[in-house]
Parts: sequence; C-alpha cells; structure tokens
Amino acid sequence: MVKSRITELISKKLGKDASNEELDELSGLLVKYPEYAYLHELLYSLKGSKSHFEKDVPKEELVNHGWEDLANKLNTKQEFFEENENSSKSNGLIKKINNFRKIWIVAATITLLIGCSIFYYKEYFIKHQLATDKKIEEVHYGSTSKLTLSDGTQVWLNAGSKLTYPEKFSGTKREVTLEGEGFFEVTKNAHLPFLVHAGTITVRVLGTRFNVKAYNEDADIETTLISGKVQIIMDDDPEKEIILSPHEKLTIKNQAKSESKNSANEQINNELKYQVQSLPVNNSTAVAETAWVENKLIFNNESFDNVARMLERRYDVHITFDNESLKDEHVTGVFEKENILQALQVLGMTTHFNYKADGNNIHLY
Amino acid sequence: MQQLLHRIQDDNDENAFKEFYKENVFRLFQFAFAFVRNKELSEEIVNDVFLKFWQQRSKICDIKNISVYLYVCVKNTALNYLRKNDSNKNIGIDDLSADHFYLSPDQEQILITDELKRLIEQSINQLPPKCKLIFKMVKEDGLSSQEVATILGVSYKTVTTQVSIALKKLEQLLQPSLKEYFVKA
Repeated sequence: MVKSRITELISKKLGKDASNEELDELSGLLVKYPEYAYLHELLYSLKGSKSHFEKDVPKEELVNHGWEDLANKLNTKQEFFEENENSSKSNGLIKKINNFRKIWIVAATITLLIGCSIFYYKEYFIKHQLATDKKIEEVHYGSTSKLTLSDGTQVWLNAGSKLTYPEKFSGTKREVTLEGEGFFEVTKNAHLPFLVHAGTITVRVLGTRFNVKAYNEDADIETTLISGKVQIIMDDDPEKEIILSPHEKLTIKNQAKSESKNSANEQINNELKYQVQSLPVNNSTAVAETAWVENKLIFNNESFDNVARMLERRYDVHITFDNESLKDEHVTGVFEKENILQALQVLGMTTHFNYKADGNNIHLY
Repeated sequence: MQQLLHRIQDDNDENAFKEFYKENVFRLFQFAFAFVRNKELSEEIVNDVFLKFWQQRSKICDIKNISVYLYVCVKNTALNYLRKNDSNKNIGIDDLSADHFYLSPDQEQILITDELKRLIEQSINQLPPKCKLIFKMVKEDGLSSQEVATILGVSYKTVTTQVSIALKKLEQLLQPSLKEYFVKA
C-alpha cells in the first residue's frame, strides 16, 4: 500500500501538481524506502531528446537552421509590408508626418533606454547586495529545524547545529557551511555544484540526498549517502577525492578533536584517517544515520560515549560519566517518543549502570 | 520568460524573439514530428506558428498560458496539413508517433550499471506511443499533467494514468537489480 502511495506521489510530483504537504510526505517516505529514492533519482536523471533529435542530429544544428529560415521569412515579409505602405501612401504630406513620427519614436526610445538602464542598474545592485548577504540558521539542543534554500534545496538541521548560507545563491556554485549535523536534499542543477563545507571536509554534489555529521565535540566527521553521487574533498589534502555510492558512509577523524589527545593516539588517527563503510541495509529497517529527520534516534552498537552526546543534543541535557569505563560499552536502541529518563531506563536493561538526574545534569555511574 | 515576452510585445525586440524561439522551438518541433513524421515538414509547421506569433505580438498579453498556446497551435497546424492531404483521415492521439525521442539515464547524475541503463532505454522505447509521448512531455518538456491534458485534448485522468504506467514499468525493471544491490550491500 505504501509503495503504491509512493509511486502516486512521484507521478504527482512529475506532473507538477503535488501540494507542499504531499512533497513533504514524499521526502519522508523516500528516506524510509531507499529503493524508491533510487527510482526517484533515476527519473530525474532521465534525459536525451532534449539535446538531440534522432541521435545523429544535434539540437543546436536544428534550432539554428530553423531560426535562419524564420529570420529570412521575417525579413522578406517586413520588406514586403514596407513597400506596400510606401506605394499606397506616396503623398508628400503623409511622408512628412511619417518623418515627424520617426523622430518622436527615436526620442521616445532613447528616453526609454536611459530609463531602463537606470532601472536595471538599480535592480542589479540590489540583487548583488542580497546575493552576498549571509544568513545563519542555528538550532539549539533539544530541537530540530527544516529550511528551504533559494534554489529549492531542503535542509534538515539536527539539534545543536548551525548552517551558514546565502540568502540567494549566485556565481557558479552553491556553497553553504555546516557545523553539526544536517540532512540535505539538493535540487538538481548540473551546472551549479552544491558544496557543503563541514569541519575539515567539503562535500560536493550536483543533486542528491545525503547526511553530514560534523559536530566539533565529536571524534569523527561522517557523511552518509542515501541516493545519487557525492564527492568528498579533504581540505588539508585536496588531491584526495573520495566518491561515495548510495548507502555508503564515510568516517573521517575530526582533527579539531584529535589534536587535544596525546601523540600516540594521534599517530593511530593518522593511519586510520578515513574509512568507507557500506550500511547494513534491508528494506524493513530505517537508516540509522538519517532517522533523526523523522525525529527518531537510532543507534546500532555505538559506544556509550557517542550515544551520550546524541542524547545530550536531543534532550538538551548534560551527561557526565562518573564511571569512565562505561564510555566504552556498546549500546543499541531506537527511541522515538521516550523522554530522557525512559530512554536511560531502556538502556539500563542491557547495560549495567545507574544514573541520577539533577535538573538538566545527569550522572552515570 | 515573462520578461522576454514583454520585450517582444512592448519593444518589438527581435533579439528577445530569437531567444524565445531558441528556448521553445525544439520541444515544439518534436511535438510536430509526432503528427507528421517528417523533419522538413515539422520545421515548416513550427516556423509557421512562430511567424504568426511574431505578427500578432501585440496580443501576447491576452494569452493565458504561452506554452499551452504554442503546443495547441502546432497541433492544429499539423492536423490541418494532414487533413489537406487526406480529408478522410481522422487523427487521434493513438495515431501519434513517439519513435523519434529517447530518454536515458545520465551517468553523470546517477550511479547505474551499463546493463541496467540499456534495459531502461529499451523499456522506455517499448512503451506504447501515447504513453511515451505523454511521459516525455511531462518529464522533459516541463509541462504539468493538466497542461498536457489541455494540449492533447484528453482528460487529466488519462494523462496521470499514462504517467503511472511508465513509472510502474521502470519500477518493475528496477526491482530485481535493486534487490541484488541491497543483498550485496
């Protein structure tokens, strides 16, 4: 049933009569059913007849030839009309009037041109100013936010994140800067690459759906691709490009974080600078990396240390490990409507720890 | 587009007309070809339509939907031509040809195996002409389902049904290879 709803929504979107609610519903469903995200992606990548007529006749050739033909027709018609006019109105007085009219037309045109150029100059000036205006969207702990950029790209921001973006994209690329975690559904535009600067990396795409997680306080920067194709460039090693396929996740050591550790650790970090993994996907489970878009928190055999930070951001609390060894325990769980105390209770069933809550401060021991 | 039309109507701007022509002529040409199945004739029909459009530029602002208007003009001109040659012939939407355009996944934009790409091209080609034509107009020409319905003189329902037929076909085609893909992952 869900699947026929997805195809129905996609065909509505194609036919340009899907409402905003329906588009939102579709985005949600596509996150849940990645195989349909691929179908959706495929549809939007279809092209061909736009550039060629019968593979061997390029569009350009046809269009230019057509225009020449039409321009010829136009010219002959116009001359024809003018000749007719002249012969029927060969009266001297009318000719003089015609001359007067011509002068008026020229004067009016010049005035109009000057007016137009002033208008356009102003317009350009205003647009240009707007284009360089940076906007910042900040999301506090305990909430998420969704915004639409000027090119139609949709961005979901997770708790504790910040996105810097231009009010209006200009130039030859679309660039934004992310601190924290965001899920991007980039509007396709093959001529304007979309760049996300996050931590020490830059993610470059043309149009696709992916998640970037780059919190300053986390040990890793992660990029997860749901559909399409992305290219990741490491700022300190621009020669190195990593290309991800759908359902692959790239994990890079966050240097901001690792520098504070001791040198022995740093060496290990350098060796294992990055790692590409395929996500364990089957049709029934959602993708953990993007679950937060639907307000779910999923973690699969993650270290308690990492999970604690996810809980902190989601529930706007501060978690302290009084017992350091707990940090290395691995935990698994799915939370949706639970509050922080219920969540800790569930975790307590599989991992042995106690907690005490004092306002927003939680101690684990 | 709106600005171009203003320049054509108010300033008699031939450059604007040229730009407008270049932007629209190709999809209209393909549409004309679906009726008359002849390259030279299609070019002539389309240019006739544009010539009239230029001559009547003072009335552009009365046209509610320029795209629909141009498509309908092309259709009528093509049908007139066909009737002139064979007055008994009744041309319906089922008589149209759609062999002359093809759609294929762009490997720049999507990761796809050559095998799957070939399969997709093939099955789009094998769609019934009516279905392929409608799918192409919606997908490539940037028209809405409602606009396509108006242009072809069929119901909105017919258009959406044809689009979903094309969609289902692609979905079927994708299913086995997707399963394979997810098993591998």
